[in-house]
Amino acid sequence: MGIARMVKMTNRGMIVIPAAIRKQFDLKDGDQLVISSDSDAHSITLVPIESIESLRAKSLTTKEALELMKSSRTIELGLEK
Amino acid sequence: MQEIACLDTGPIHLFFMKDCPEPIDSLIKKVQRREIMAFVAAPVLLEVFKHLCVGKGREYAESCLQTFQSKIPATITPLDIPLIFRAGSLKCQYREELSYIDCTAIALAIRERAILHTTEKELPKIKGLKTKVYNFD
Repeated sequence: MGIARMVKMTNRGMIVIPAAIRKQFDLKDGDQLVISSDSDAHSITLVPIESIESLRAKSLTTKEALELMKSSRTIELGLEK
Repeated sequence: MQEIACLDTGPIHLFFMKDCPEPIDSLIKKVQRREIMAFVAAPVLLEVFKHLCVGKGREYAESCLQTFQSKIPATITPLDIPLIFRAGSLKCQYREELSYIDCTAIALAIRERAILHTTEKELPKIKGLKTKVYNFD
């Protein structure tokens, strides 16, 4: 679900992320965000930095990751034979 | 004296796994606390991205690398001509044993006099290379 709000920038370039959006993304004091621009799309995007714990919760297991790396390496080195 | 480490694909990839092995977690946390000075060759991150993307998709891979870049104070080193020459020579010499990314990480480790932290168990003996191999089989 998307939320759109109008915000005003201060003379120091600061804006406030609206409370509804902070709540939607569970943003708290001290959280980091990546800000990026796209001049073609005339847009600025803010992407919250996820915690290591939340990324780990969604990840593969170590065993699966090791198998993935092993098979990728076998294919790559096999091309040299 | 502060330890200097060069991180290969394996330790960075495994750091994001749900059951991240303790030695990997400990290594990256030491980098986070600046107890270890770490270098990462930029192409290594490309390979980490690829593995994360194959495993869990592009958005997940992007989130992991953004988190790594913002929370882990490792120096991400782009390829330059001396590094290309060194890595290229290694690939030429060990083309069936080392991947391009291996060669890049090894070249950077030798240049920075760093210990290469890797999960790769079958690296050939290379002059000037010090390794710490993590084995989770």
